[in-house]
Amino acid sequence: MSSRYAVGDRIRISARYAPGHVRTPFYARGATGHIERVLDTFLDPEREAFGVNAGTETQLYRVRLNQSTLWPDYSGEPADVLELEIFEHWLEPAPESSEQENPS
Amino acid sequence: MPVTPDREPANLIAHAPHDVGGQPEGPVSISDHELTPFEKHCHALLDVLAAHKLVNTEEKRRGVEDMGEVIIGGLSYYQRWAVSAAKVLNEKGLVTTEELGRTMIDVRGRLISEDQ
Repeated sequence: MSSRYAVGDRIRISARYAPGHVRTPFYARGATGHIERVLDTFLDPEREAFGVNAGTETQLYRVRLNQSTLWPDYSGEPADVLELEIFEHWLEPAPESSEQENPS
Repeated sequence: MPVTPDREPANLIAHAPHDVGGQPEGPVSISDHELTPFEKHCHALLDVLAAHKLVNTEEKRRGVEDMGEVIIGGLSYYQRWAVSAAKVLNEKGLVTTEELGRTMIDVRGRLISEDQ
């Protein structure tokens, strides 16, 4: 299975809110960042949670986000980042206009 | 952007009750405790259900998440597991509510007679 995104690609986490078993944290939806590394493929937990246990392999990535873009009142170091593991179907290319995150 | 969930119907669906990351909260208790016999049994039972591919981790978590805020908040960690397993087994047609209800009465009866 080939991955859609490569290390360094700027991405946005989808802002989707359908009911279901979702592993993408609410607070991170809509946030922009970049691909820190391409991980392995796994069965899609959103399907497994409803008994579909085969044929749903999906790519997982480690995504790096700036803490200061996630939390408006963030008082830590400006260089602080958060890394989350996000499945490919939750990622989309970052809009051109979005703020650049800290370099890795 | 963190959003405190409110009681609007759209937000009740969008922001699931278990997804508490980023919300204001008090200190986290990190004290350990010896597992009770119920907790050990419950953990073992869910491991067996997973090993036999009857209830996997994802199904178990989904069953907990579907309970809603009041029940999630009112049950202990392993009580949630037990209720979730019952729901998932019922959904799959592997147990019925009648069977489970009758078995719960039987087990309760055994525990009471053991206590006497």
